[in-house]
Amino acid sequence: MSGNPTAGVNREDLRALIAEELELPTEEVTDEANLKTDLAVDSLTAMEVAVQLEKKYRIKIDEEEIKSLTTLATIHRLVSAKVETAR
Amino acid sequence: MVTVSTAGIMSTARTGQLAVVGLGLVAPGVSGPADAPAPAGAVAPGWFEAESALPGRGYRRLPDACKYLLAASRLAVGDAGDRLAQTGRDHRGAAVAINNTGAALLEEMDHTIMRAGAEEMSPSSSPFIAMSSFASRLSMEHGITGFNLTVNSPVTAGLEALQIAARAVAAGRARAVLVAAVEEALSPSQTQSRRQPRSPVSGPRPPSAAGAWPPPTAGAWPTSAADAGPSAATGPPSQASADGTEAGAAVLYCEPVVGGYARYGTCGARGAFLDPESAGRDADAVLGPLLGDDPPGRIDAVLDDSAVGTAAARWLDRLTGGACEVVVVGAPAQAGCLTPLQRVVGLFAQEHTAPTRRAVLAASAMGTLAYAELTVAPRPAVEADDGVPYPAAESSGAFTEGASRP
Repeated sequence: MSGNPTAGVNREDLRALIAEELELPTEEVTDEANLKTDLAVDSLTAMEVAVQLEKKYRIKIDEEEIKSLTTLATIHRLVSAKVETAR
Repeated sequence: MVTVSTAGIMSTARTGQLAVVGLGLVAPGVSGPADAPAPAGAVAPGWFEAESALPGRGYRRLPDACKYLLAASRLAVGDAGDRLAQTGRDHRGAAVAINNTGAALLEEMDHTIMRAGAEEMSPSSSPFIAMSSFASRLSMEHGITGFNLTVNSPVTAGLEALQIAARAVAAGRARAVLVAAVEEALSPSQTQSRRQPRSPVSGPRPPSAAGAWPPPTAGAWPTSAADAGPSAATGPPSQASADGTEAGAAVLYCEPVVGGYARYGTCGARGAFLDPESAGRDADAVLGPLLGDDPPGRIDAVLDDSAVGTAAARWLDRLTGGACEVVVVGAPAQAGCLTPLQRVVGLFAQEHTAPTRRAVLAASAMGTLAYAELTVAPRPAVEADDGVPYPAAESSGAFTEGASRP
């Protein structure tokens, strides 16, 4: 098992996925940009992001966890942990 | 939110008038309101360029029909200048006619559920399972919080939306109403299932009908020599595509006649019910009061080959000897509601030097009739070179109800 739980998920791939779902240039999706306050993401779009993450990484994101999808950095940590657990 | 389904109106009901300030139209092969009566283009993939019609974020995942509606509404609202922005949100309303708009989408969702499971459904498109979601999204787009209504009657819903809007304006519920009709092409399987033959048409064809009766579904059937005009003689002028389905959206930005700006003119609508079982016998008793004893210079009649459509066509034929031109437009096979309201848009877009009366009649096979009366304002020039879409209301000399009619 890897010692770094985020090692298996490429951050730039994740950035590209989120940018695609948010209909934004990838450079606007910085590591710490807040999806809600900085990138004007509403709850419906957040759900779309969650669905796409589930499809791409074959993980399950609970409804409560959608609230924690606040920045690319936090999403990366969450997805990486779930991918690691699923191995 | 209220969904209104009007299966039948037993007696003629009259409502108030609306001032028409802006027009918006999105349809295959149509570049703007003036093209509204033109032959429909094919509902082929790519006919609608969403990225140019709806620039910005938040539209990509919407159902196509919702995009048509939003695009047409943007055109209508823009056509009206800044009048919507000057109207309080609680005084803005929307009446949206829909018939088959969600049919193909629902089929797609069914397939997704069957093949991959409900968890694969898109959160963005799933709300459109409810047909009222189209009007809701329209309201979100334009900050409409006064009311929104969805009307679902086959064929007649667009004109009924006008009637509902006029009633709401008369009641003081709104000072600006977007009246819309939107349809989406059916899926191939749905189109096939709706191509089943209708019940046989009863009675002989109208005596002066030039050409085959019943009218072709996607064509027009002129009833008078005057129909050799631009709308009837230049090919199949129905808004239905060659495969009999409709796609697109028509939107009218309306205000109260008193205090509003009748840039394109005024209109009102009313309805009636013609029992299919006795349509031929009852036509005069129903259509006479509905149309009144002073017909306009032109009536566009959206009719199908049902007993009701046939009876209405035969009754209208009596008008052709006078000054009234009747243009019969084949109702789309899918019984969509876009064609009648698209005709209204097209008639308002015509330029006249004097106030000119026009009308659109729509009839469904089930017997519902809707009739919109228009008084088109003199409008020699709409677009100003300075980029201002139209003169200010106060200085425009805008047409008002009660002005002299030809």
